Order: sequence, then structure tokens, then C-alpha cells
Amino acid sequence: MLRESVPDPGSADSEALFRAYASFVASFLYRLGARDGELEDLVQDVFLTAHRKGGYRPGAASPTTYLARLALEARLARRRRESRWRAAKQDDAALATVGAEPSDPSRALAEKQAVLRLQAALDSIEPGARAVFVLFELDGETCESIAAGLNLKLGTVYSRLHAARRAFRIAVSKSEERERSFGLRRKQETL
Amino acid sequence: MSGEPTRLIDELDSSDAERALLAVGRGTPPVDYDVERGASRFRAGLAALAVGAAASTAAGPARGALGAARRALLGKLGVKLLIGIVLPFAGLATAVRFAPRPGAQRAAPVAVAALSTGLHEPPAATATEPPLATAAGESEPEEPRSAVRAQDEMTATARATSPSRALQTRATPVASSHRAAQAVMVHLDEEAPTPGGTRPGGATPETAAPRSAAETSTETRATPTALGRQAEPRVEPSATPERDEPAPRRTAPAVEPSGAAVEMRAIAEARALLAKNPGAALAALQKLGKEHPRGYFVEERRALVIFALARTGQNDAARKQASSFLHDYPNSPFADRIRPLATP
Repeated sequence: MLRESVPDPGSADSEALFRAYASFVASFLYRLGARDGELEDLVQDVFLTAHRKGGYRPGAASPTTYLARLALEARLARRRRESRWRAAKQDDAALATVGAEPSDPSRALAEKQAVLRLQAALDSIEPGARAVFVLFELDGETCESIAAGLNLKLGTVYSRLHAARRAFRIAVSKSEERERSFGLRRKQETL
Repeated sequence: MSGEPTRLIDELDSSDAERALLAVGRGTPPVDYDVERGASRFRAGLAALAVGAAASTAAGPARGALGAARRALLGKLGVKLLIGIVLPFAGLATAVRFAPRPGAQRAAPVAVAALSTGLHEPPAATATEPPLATAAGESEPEEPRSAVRAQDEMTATARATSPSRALQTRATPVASSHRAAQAVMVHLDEEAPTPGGTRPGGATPETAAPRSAAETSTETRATPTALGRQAEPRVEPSATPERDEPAPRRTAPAVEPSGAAVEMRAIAEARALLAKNPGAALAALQKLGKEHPRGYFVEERRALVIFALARTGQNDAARKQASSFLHDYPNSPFADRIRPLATP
């Protein structure tokens, strides 16, 4: 029904959208906790859904916030489906996904660890708030664009951002504490 | 809110660690996505979508019917479970508390009809069937009413999934209603055995049926209305000639889910066997495949067959079946586990 009621954006437009924003969607999904084959499937789902819905149309939402909403919905739907069949996969140690390491070989170990620590902090945030946090803090989107893209009220965006920041700060401070105590132990052991 | 909040990375009270992590997050994508590979897959997906759009106009109704059938099956299973819980208790209470009371014979057959079919009966029909009530004994109205109402509502719910069936059985007369009630009880016995064997004496629908005809008919009329149909008049003279036809239809819902239940049980057993004895699991699944080639749990069965083949060392067969499975169910919850088995 939907397919008949919305204009077909055309395969070329949809592919152009894919080429422009697939990396963003993949990163966004990764930050929402998707991994490996699931991530690739979800990326495809997001753009196929966008195509079915008539593609992105310029408006208050930017392409990224528009796609972010589709990605969030796809991820949550997948999680609901999966939870009936199996426990969540515990493969958070993997930094890269889609079977490839990040392409830059000069990326330092410290940076990799920072990425992992960031992800661990993000994982402590509830998915809806995490999406807002990632879009605002990491992708530089405006709150208006996030509200339009995720179909939220502006006040809801602010409150989610507030909750996400609190969770993020708690997670970072806990992580720092752990590292401090671990470093202290190591120091004592070497002495 | 007057303006945009300050980003956390620019906040004065942010710690260095927070800023460092946010800077990494802003500068480094966590995934190096292969856009070319993804785009080629996306093109294939678009092509499949175009083909699927054309095919779905033909296949859509069938798929919708299958989905509706699955929903109906789940609904029925839930209803039977509830009936299985409620009726044994109601029956026990009936057996203990109810004493015969003269003068109630006329109401009972009507209520029997309502119990099993949710229909209204002509008053004349009730007068022709006194042995029903006398044989089973009479009962007080209060206690069994909850059982009757519960079963009325449940049968109505189950019937709501199949409006045409509900309409076909609306005119069921007393005799066939009685048989249908017995069939329901037999089925309940199979699924939820009555504690202490109280059913035959106390919990049969005959004894749990002391509602007045007027009350029964008022409530049962709600069923067709809920289905979007007009409530029909209470007396239906045309019901008599079709006396025996609807009875087998009423037993049909009791048979339908039992096949799926058997299938579900077999799947669960095979799943349990898989770790200890994959060969036996494989045999059981293949047998199940022959018995229910188009069952409700084909996807689960095929996934388990693949796991069983892999565990028994039949890698080529597992690979072949895995490819076929992924082709048929690319978004299956099993897909992530099966995908590695599809590659050599």
C-alpha cells in the first residue's frame, strides 16, 4: 500500500543516497550496538526502507537525521526479534565491523583503545537517548534537525540529551577510576 | 529553550577524558564501511524489491492469509490454555457445591447451547430437551456462570479469528451444540487433564449451564456484532433443517492447532537433542519434514537441520542447505549463525 502511495525516488537517487551516507549509517548503527553481519544487513535495510518510503526529501530533517531514525527503528526491531531467539552477542571487543579493520594502518593503539572506551561509554546509554547523543555530540547535528529526523518534540530531544550526557559522564568517570586502580595495582606489583 | 545547548566537548566543566573520547568519536568513524561492496548489494536489493513489488500483488493475499492463520493459531492456543486453567476449577466447584433443584430444567439446555456455540436458541427447542438437564443434574446459577461466561468469551474470541465459521455455526440447535460442547471438553481433557477426574460428573457443560435464556441470548448476541455483523433475531426457525451440519465444524479448531503443537514439540525436542545427539536430532527433523513439509515451523526446522548436518560432519550438505536457507530467509534470526556455514 505504502509502495503505491509514495513516489518512487528512482534507483539512481537511492544509490546516490547510499553512496553518500552508507558510512554514516554504518557508524551510527555500530554506535547503537550493531555488529558484523547484522550491521551490514541493517545498513541495507535502512536504505531499502528509505527507498520504499520515497527517499529523503529536503525539509527540517537533514539526510543524516532522517536516516538515523530509520537506522534506530531497524536496530530496535532487530533487537526485539533477536531477543526471542537468542541472547545478545558478546563481541564488543571487535573494533571494526563488516569483516574489515579500519583502513588507516597508522591508527595508534591508544586511539583504538579510546574508540573502545567511547563505545563502552555509549553502550551505557539507553538506545533512544544514545541516538540523540551521537547525532548531537559526535555528528554535530542541531537539536531541531534531530527532532525533525527522529520525529520527536524538541523538549524530548533536550531531555534525552541531558539523560545521555549524565550516563556518559558516569560511564567515563567509572572507566577512569578502573584505569587508575588498575594502574596503581600494576605499579605496586612492579615495585 | 532559547538556543542550542553547548556541545559537551566545548563545555567548561567537561573532564579531559570526556573531551578526549568525544574528540576521538568526532574524528574517527568506528567502522570502515566498504561502500562499493555495499552499493552492489544494495543494487541487487533494489532489483529484488522491484521484482518483489510485482510479485507481491499476486502473492500478497496468500501471505496475508498465512499471517492471519498464524495469528489465529496463537490466539487459539492461548484460549485453550486459559480454558484448561479455568474449567477444571469451575468443574470442581460445581461438583462440590451444586445440588439438584427442581424447576430449573428449562433453562439448562439453552445455556448448554450458549456454552458451546454462543448462540441463542428458540424457546421451543429448550422444551424439547429436558433429559439433558435431568441427566446431568441441576445447578445453582452463581458459581458456574463465571465458567460459562469465560468459555463464552473465549470461544467468541477464538471464533473472531474466523468470522465465516462463526456465522456458519450461529444457527446450531441444541443437539449439535451438546455434541460440540462434548467435543470441546474432550479436547480440553487431552490438553489439560482435570484434577481428580471430576469432569464427567460435575464439570460437563450441562451442569455448568444455569443461565437464563434471556441473559444468555443478550450476551451471545455481542459476538456477531463484534464481528461487524448485524445481530440476528433470537428465534431462527430455519435452524432446524441444518441440525447436524455445523457440529464437525466446531471441532475443527480443536484439531487444527494440535498439528502445529506436535510440530512445535518435535522442534523443541530436536533442539534439545542437537547438542547431545545431532544424528538423532537430524533424523527427527527429517521425519518431521516429511510429516509437515509445509508446517508452521519450516524456517526453524531447516535451520536446525543445517546445524545438525554441520555437527554430524556433513559439511557439504550443510553448506548447500545453508545457501538455500539464506536465499529463502535472508533476514532470519538464524541467518547470522548460518552464514558462516554457507561459505567453504
